[in-house]
Order: sequence, then C-alpha cells, then structure tokens
Amino acid sequence: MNVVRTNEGDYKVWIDLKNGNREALEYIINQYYSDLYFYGVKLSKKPEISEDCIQEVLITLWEKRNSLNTVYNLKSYLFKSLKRRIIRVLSAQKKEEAQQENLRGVSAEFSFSTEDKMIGQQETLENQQKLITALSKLSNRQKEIVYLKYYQGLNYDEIAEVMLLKRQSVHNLLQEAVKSLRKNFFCLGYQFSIEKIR
Amino acid sequence: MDFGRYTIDDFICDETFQDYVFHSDKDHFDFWEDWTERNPHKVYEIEEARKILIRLQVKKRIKLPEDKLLDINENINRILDKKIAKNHKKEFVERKIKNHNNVFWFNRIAAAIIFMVLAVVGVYYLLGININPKEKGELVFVNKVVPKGKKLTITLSDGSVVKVNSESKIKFPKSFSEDSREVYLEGEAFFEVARNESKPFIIYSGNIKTTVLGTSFNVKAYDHNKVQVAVNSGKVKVENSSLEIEPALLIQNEMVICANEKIEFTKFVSEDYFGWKDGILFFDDANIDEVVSALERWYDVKVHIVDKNLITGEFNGLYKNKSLGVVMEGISYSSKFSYVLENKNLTIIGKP
Repeated sequence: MNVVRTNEGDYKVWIDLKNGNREALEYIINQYYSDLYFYGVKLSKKPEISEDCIQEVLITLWEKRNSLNTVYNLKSYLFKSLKRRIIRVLSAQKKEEAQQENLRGVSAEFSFSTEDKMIGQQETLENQQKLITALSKLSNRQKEIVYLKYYQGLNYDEIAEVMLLKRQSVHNLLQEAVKSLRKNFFCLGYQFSIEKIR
Repeated sequence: MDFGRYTIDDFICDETFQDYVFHSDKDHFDFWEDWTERNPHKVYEIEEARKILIRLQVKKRIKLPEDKLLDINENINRILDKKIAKNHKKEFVERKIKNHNNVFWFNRIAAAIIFMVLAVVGVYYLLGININPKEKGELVFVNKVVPKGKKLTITLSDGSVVKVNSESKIKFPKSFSEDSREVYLEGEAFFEVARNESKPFIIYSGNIKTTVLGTSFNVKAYDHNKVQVAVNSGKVKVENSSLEIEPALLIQNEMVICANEKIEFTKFVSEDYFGWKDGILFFDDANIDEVVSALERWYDVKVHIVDKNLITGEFNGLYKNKSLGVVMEGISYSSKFSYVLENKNLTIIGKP
C-alpha cells in the first residue's frame, strides 16, 4: 500500500512557468505564499527575513525556470528552497564558518506559542498551553516535522524532500515525536478522564 | 505488514490510516473500514489514534490578506521588469562602445524619450487626468477569473475569506472603502465574511444584491436570471435592486432562488451543498443535464451524450477529491449508460 501522489495542478503551473507566463507566478503566490511565509517565520523568527527569502526563491524560480528539472511538487520544492536560503542567511548572520551546503543535521530553532494558532486550534486555551509545553519538550527536528505534517499537511514524501531525509527516517522521526506528545499531552487528559469516572 | 501488532503510535503514523481518518482516499478508507470491522480487539488503539490525529491536524491554515499578496506579486513583477530593462540597457551600452558614432545617437534618443515623457505627463496634467486614482479616494479594483477545472481562495482586505468556484469571476476593491464592502460576482462563491456591524458586506450579481454583516453563505450566480443564495451561518438579506419587491431575510440552512422576477425560498438540501469548497462534488437527485454541467465545470471536460432519451432518472452521490474516472465509475454503476473518456472528451452513451 505505497502511496504515490502526483499533483496535476502543480504540473500545469510548471508548464505555464516554462512558457514564460507571469500569471503562473501570481498563482504560486496566491496558493503557497502564506504557507511559505509562516514556515519562514518559524525558521528565522523574523518576518522580514522570511519575506526577503521567499522573494529571492520566487525570482530564482522564474529566472532558472529553463534550466531546472521539472518540478512536480511545487510546495515541497518551495519549502526546500526557502529553508536552504534561510539557513544560509542565518549562518551568514552568525558569521559561522563559510556557508554550509550540507543541511543535514543543521536545523533552525523551532518554537510554538498559543498566539501563532499553528496547532491545537480546536483545543481549549488551557489545553493549548499544555500542548505547547508538550511540544517544547521535542527536539528541533521533531518540532519541525510535527509542524510540516500537522500544520502544513505535507505527506511523507514531501517532508522527506524538505528535510532531506529518507522516507523511512521521516516515519521514524514522526513516530518518536508522536510517542513523546502522547506521553506528555494526550495521556494526561486520558488519565484525567479515567479518574473522573472512578 | 502485520497491522494486528500495531501500537497507537503505529496507527497514528501510518499514512494510509491517516487517509482513513480524514476520508482523503477512498481505497484506504475502504481498506481500514473493513479491517477495523474484522479486528475488534484493536478497537481501543484505533479509536485513540483517530482521536489524537483529529486533535493534531490543523483544519484551517492561515492565509495572508489579498492586498498583501497583490503587493508582493506587484513587487516581484517590478523587480523582474527592472532586470529585463537592465539587460536590454547592457546590450545597448555594449553595442555603443563598439561604435563611437552611436554615442551621438544615444544622447539624441535619450533626449527624445525625456521629451516624450514630459509631453505625456504634461498632457495628463492639463487634461486633469488623475494618474494615481488612490489620491482621489477612488477604489482600485481587482478582477479574478477562475477557469473551468480550477478553484481559488481569496482573503479580502477586511479578513473575509472567499472561495471562488470554477468558471467564475469576482471583482473587489484592493482595499475596501470607509463605509462599505462591495464585491461583484459572476458564477459561484462561498463567503466567510468577517464581522463588522458598521460596514455592511454587499455582493452584486446582476440585479441581485446580497447584504450581510458577518456570516458564511454561498452565492450561485452562473446565470444572473437564476441566482441561488444559501446560508451556512448568520443572517443574510437578499434583494432585487431593479424590482420593487420585499427583500428576503435568510438564516442558517435557508436558501432562496431569485428567478422570474421573484425571490423564493426553497428546500435547503443539506450542508453538502457547500461541499464544493472542500473539494466535494455532490449530486442530490440531479438530472443528467445538471450532472453534465457540473462535470464540465469541475473537470474542464467536454461532455457528449449519445441517445440521451435513454438516460432517465436521478443521480445521487458524494465524491471528495476524486478523479473524473472514479466519479464516472460511481454514477455509471447501476445507471443505464456507459462512457468513454479520452483526453478532455467524455462521451456518455445511453443503453436501452
């Protein structure tokens, strides 16, 4: 039961882009800009960095459209490009050793708060707070995967592309995160309800 | 895979199981529906996993307001235009260096261009034409056209969200005026209007005017002589601005049809009427003509019917994010027709 998902709409947009149709860019902005923006803010913590980097990603996409391989999945492609750019900007800022092209292992800090309404939208305020606490116990990469999966709704193949992981590693990483969340958040509520019944 | 040994975490992390919980893939849904029935000893794990998945999955991602997105688009277009202009100029300068004579012409041309620009600006100025309409407080309108086979979600400058269906046009100001929020619709759209008591939200579809303060509802106006308005929550006023007839006031789960110079309440079928905005194609006692126009719009195909008089009866069905093939399998099943799908052409053949 292996799931292969191709995105037909994305492919059509890609063809438009190839044909030099600026409306394709407009479509991409309408469809993906908001998701990219919030992901960028999560990674960089600064809206300006997020906006600047997305702009660069989009302009590069337009200028390199004739030399790029076919992009079948725009969302994961854009996420990956944005992440690479933001990490480059952040590491340049921190004056770390010359730009690290190898992103594996390098992960920006990731944090959740009740204000950003990114997760637990349907929970009560009190539960949201508990969920944030449970999320804060996760590693950065676990936080990122929870965000990509449950907020951005990416599937495993897309997450694998964005985080530069193998599909199996995506599964394992998410499983660890879910296990921890269950222990620190969902089980609390469950035990509570059992005690109530007693 | 031995699902019998699955823990709660295994279920949560299985993508096919996620499809089952969120009804996003029919095959996976059927598989797990069947599996859970045959494995009652796993009911606790499955229910826990389902509950947690539903609590974790975010239903509604935040979308930035449309005026912001338009600004970004304009900005990028400006940068790209500038780059193109720069490249042209570079070529021009390179050629100039090759040929000294051209310096003379370059100055001449530059002078001519400056003169022309000044002349045009002067004419505008003399005629009193306002180059920047914003200064006069006039609204800058945005037109969006959604072709067949596509849908579009727009967040307006007041935070209201509009889902525009296929083959529809919507016109709205980039930012709303001080005293009202007015948009123009041809086709179908679902509105979630941000509440603002002092600034009514008005939708014009031909002569039909739909007024609200804050609520969610659907306007179907593919034909201006037959406009349907259905309310999901809140209160909505529908009136015909060209006729002296009573406006209709609608609340949740009510629907009116504006046709033949009348505004009439009709039966509200079910919430699935709004389903198109979530990718649900829904037929409720639809006849073949209604099915055909829905398919043409939804999938951007051309439908041809052979022996139409043999296809009678009504069609029912609900398809979420399904391909045309799956939908056709569903509605041709137990119906008196067969079909052939080739590229963008769908031929439906009635059977005796």
